[in-house]
Amino acid sequence: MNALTDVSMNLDHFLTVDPILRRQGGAKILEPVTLVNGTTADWNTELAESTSLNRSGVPQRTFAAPLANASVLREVRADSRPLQVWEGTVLKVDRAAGVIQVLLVAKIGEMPRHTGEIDLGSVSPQDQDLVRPGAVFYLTLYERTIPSVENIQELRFRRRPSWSTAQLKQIERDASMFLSKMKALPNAT
Amino acid sequence: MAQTAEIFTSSIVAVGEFNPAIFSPDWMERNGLIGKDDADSVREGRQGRPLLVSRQVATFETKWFALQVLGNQFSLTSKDALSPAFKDLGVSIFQLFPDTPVTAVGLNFFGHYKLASEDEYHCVGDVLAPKDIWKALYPDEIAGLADLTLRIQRGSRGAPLKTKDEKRIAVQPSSMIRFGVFFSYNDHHDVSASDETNLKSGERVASIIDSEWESSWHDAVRVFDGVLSKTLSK
Repeated sequence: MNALTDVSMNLDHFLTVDPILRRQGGAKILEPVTLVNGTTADWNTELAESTSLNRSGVPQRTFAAPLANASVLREVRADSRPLQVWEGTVLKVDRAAGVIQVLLVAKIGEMPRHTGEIDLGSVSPQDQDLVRPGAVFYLTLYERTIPSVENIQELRFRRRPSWSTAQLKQIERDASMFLSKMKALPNAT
Repeated sequence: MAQTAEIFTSSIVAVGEFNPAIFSPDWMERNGLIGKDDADSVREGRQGRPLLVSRQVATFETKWFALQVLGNQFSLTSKDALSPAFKDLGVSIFQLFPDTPVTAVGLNFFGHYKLASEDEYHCVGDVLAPKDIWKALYPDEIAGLADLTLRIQRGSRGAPLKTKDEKRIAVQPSSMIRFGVFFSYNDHHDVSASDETNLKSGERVASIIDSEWESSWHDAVRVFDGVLSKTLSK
């Protein structure tokens, strides 16, 4: 049996679709991937149909045996391009009026920072509890090009739940520096 | 004239030793990496790719990213609108695993560019890979550029490299756009050797993603645009 054709059989027990649909051949087919040993590049999708191997100058590629860890659908097709991305900071939340006052800094091109108001309704339900003064969000205006062209905007709040050791060390260094510059107030006599 | 991509996206790939079974949407939601709506969309299979989490592999996708973790490779790929929220997700994941043995991390960017005509399309291939030699060898056949990869390293020829960090830029015909060119940009960072920061490898990866992802994005745009502009002006 061709090693590349029996992948879905090996993975059969991992599939989560309706078993009846699967028996009728309607299950999603998990395709094999080409493993690129040791590289962090991620662009062989354009040559996925290639039958060439060991091309000079290309990292060692091997078709893996049909094990689960080499047999998952990997290709992700994007269909859009960002037109502008703003990093925003919440300045004030007015829940009664249903708006947040924000400071926006453009991430693409040279644009002056500016303030504005954003409707609370445009914040997704999962991000509503993140809306508070000081919270950071990203407002992306993007163009979807496939299947047809449409302009869309997306607002996503930043989620950085943990502090890293490096960040904590930096904070400690900053705090020590500030502390070293502080002087005790003279006692009143 | 500056060129604009029709499709632009990014991925973060790390090489090391991973435990795929940890990377479930429940775990990501519990740790505040994604919201409930994103986690629900994965659990309910609304995003196309079937949820699969096992000891050997974890793979699923939300509306805005796809995650695949194997024993030796971590891959996070953006979908839909690319924004720094994607970078934050990568940073946060590695901050939660400071002790994960990682040897390298790559910040990848991809662009599909549409050209104005078939002539411009062939012009890019002909300028980057002149066909004189190939026409002499195959006078009655057509030679076309299928894949060109440039490796950019710091230093000078003949001298030992100071770092294993490098960039790989590839040019191919686009499979998604007629008369389109596909570019990929791999900003590879080696973290196998210790450095002066004394950070654990997972923390170093988080730090690299945090500090380099946006500048890599801008550099990728500069390079893609530069290659196209310079080839088309020849």
